[in-house]
Amino acid sequence: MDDFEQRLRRQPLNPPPAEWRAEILSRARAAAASYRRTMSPRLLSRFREWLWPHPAAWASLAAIWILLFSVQRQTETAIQSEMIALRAAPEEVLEAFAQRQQATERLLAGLDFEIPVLDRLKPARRHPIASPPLMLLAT
Amino acid sequence: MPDELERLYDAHAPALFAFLLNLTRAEATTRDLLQELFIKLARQPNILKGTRDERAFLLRLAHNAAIDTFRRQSTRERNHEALGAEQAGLFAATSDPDEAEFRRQLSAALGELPPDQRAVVHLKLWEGLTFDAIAELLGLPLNTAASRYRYGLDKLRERLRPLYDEIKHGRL
Repeated sequence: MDDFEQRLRRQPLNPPPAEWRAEILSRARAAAASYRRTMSPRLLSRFREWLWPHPAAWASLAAIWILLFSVQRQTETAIQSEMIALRAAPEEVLEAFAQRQQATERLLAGLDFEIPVLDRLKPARRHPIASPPLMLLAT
Repeated sequence: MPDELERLYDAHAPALFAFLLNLTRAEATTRDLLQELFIKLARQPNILKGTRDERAFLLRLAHNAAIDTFRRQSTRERNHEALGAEQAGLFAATSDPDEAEFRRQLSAALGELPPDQRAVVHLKLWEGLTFDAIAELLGLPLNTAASRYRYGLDKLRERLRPLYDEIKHGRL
């Protein structure tokens, strides 16, 4: 600091008017008391504890955000890769399905009893309709 | 035995008053802002819990409150207040006429500085803060704080040089 700066620095600043002290403090206390009356003190302190910037609170919040972000990214990636695989190889999927169907048919052909499931799918056998008695026809 | 609010007032109100008066250049606005600040302290007694430097924290609150007031005020109101800047009573009265004239002109010269330069000059000269601390307090880059101080000081030097030289060489 040069001489000029030193000189400026030495200039004494005025204090606040003496009468302000009592006024400002009493108004501040009154305002604080009415503020506290509006909210229950317990709720107020808990609310303050919750919201007041605290390194641990902010760190936890940041950790939660990072976790959510990474989970979302992983889910998106998994879905995208599945979609790509399905789009890239539909014939392979169909072929696998066809092979499975053939294997099932071969297995069923080797069985020597009638499968009730297939039976149920057959159309029901119709009984022949009885012809009206001749006597009735004659009248 | 004084309570916490009284302790804070006695320890910091003079510095906050001078800083706010230098920023706003109006005693009524300064009083309102100081009142607002102490209401906040009374409502939130834990607000200073965990702060490294009480004074710096309170000066930051005061600065933010003053900036909010500037934004709310119209240009006409600001000009009106600037007219009363010389009566703001920033510096203590003295019986020495040379000193009294120097303080009067210094107060006027400070009033002519842009508020952002005035804030830095005040914090550097009368709070004795480092540029690092000023930059942190005002939320500025370090270089900006230093350059604002340099510009502000150059303007004060230019404005006060004739009077300063006369007093220095004992010719007034």
